[in-house]
Amino acid sequence: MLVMNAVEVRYLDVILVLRGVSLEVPPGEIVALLGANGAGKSTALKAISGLLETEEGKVTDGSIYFNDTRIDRMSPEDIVRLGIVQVIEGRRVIEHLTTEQNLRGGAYLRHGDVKRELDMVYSYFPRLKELRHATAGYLSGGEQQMLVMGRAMIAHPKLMLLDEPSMGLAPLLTKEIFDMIQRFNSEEKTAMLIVEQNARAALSVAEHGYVIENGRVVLDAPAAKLTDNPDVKEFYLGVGTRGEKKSYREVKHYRRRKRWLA
Amino acid sequence: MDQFLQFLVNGIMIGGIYGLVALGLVLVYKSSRVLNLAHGSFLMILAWLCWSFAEQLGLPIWLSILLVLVISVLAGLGVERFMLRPLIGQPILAVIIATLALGYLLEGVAIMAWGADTKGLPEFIPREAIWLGPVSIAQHYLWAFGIAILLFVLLYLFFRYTKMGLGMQIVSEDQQVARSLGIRVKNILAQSWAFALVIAAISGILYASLNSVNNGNALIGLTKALPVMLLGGLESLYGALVGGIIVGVFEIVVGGYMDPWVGGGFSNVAPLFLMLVILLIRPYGIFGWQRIERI
Ligand SMILES: Nc1ncnc2c1ncn2[C@@H]1O[C@H](COP(=O)(O)OP(=O)(O)O)[C@@H](O)[C@H]1O
Ligand SMILES: [Mg+2]
Repeated sequence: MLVMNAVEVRYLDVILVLRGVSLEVPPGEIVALLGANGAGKSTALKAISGLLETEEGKVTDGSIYFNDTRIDRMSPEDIVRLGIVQVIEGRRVIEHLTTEQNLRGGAYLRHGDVKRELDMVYSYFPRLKELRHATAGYLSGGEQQMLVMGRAMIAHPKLMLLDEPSMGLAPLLTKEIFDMIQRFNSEEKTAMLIVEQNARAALSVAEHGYVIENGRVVLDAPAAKLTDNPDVKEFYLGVGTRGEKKSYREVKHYRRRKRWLA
Repeated sequence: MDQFLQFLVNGIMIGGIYGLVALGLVLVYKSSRVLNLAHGSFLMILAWLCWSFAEQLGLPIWLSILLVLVISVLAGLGVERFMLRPLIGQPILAVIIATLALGYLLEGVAIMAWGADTKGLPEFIPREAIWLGPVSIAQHYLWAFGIAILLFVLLYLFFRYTKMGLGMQIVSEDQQVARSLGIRVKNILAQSWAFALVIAAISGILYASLNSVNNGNALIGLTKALPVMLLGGLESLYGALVGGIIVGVFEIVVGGYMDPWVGGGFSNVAPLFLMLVILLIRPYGIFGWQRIERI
């Protein structure tokens, strides 16, 4: 359904951030995109949603297809109309509007009464219903995360791009959010591409995962395989770490060297 | 006491108009973060156009007003297309300077077209005073005040209940999020400029019908509406109304008592004096957005 082909992205025409990323999201599937800070995960999502345009970024090579439509030259407004919605990282609620007004904003492209859509979101997040007249800027972090996700869900997208939904949330809330992601995916058949630092949470719901580093895909495997991969274990799942974070590439060198020495 | 009441009522009436003028500034600022320094010039030139249609072309006044409203919508769309869009990506200061230039351009056009004359609009609302006990209100002031209030209510309902209004509010806070939801920001900006210039037209015509049509009317953009906007809060609609009334009352009451002492003229600087004080103690105004900070 979504296919990225050797995509290269530059900001301001010079800062090369993605160096030929290829990935695929099949219909109805959840795909995880993992990687350290600054690897280019958010950039990859913005390349898909077209929001690069708002940050002076451009796809300078390769292509992105959604079904049979080439979308890497399209404006974000038109890409949304194809059914791709990005939840930008950092819980960007419209602070001065109420919860419900924020949700109505998510339904901006739907015609007619959105009452049923609102109820759909409230069925996933009953907390939002209680808070529907509250000013969004004063919600807690977890509630704001629910709100931005609800704002995307209300549009019934075919593909949802989630950027770090668990950032800064307590483990219990993270679990709640990921349970909801799974439920929405199985009930609505919405495909999802989830960017996460919390690899464990993301891999627990994803069918497939990619690891990117320095703008390149360095690993690409079914989620179960990734979970078992020793390097992923060490660097993204926090199993057997020596407390210090190194890049996947460095590990490889380190291992190789160790083997030579042995 | 009677004199004070009279000043108070006069202040409230004129304050309604100031609030309406400021409302045009607020709309533009809310959507695009631009302080429109040409607002006063727009309201002056739109009032001149109304006078020309009515007095020079002999059209009925209501038709003249309607034509001016249509022109103001087109002007608003034109400003977005030919001024804002080419300046996308430039610092906001560049856009503000562009509005300043546009304001001077409009004043130049006004001088060429209508000279330095002062004219009166044909009467289209009754003028006889109404007496409320010891206080008299000139009817045309009351009408103007009523129209201002009506516009505030309509705009409130528009923002509260329409999709376009919701879109404007989202764009005003976060353009990137707006685009991520599929809202076409350029259209929203064009619409809010069109709204603002319709309001400029109405307030310009009302102000001219209270006083007269002349190039000096452009000054109320900076000397009255700007203090009102700062007082009420840059983004607040009802702030503009409340701020307008405060500035109107301050100007008439303080000016009314002070002018005999200082030989006149204090009422003209009163709003600016108030603006200075506001900037010092409450830079975001009474109803303006305080940044919501969480820890
Ligand atoms: N708007 C931008 N302009 C210039 N450089 C950017 C911009 N956004 C991100 N970058 C750079 O691109 C790299 C990848 O950023 P990002 O995609 O946000 O990483 P991630 O989401 O994986 O943490 C970083 O080095 C960052 O500094
Ligand atoms: Mg990121």
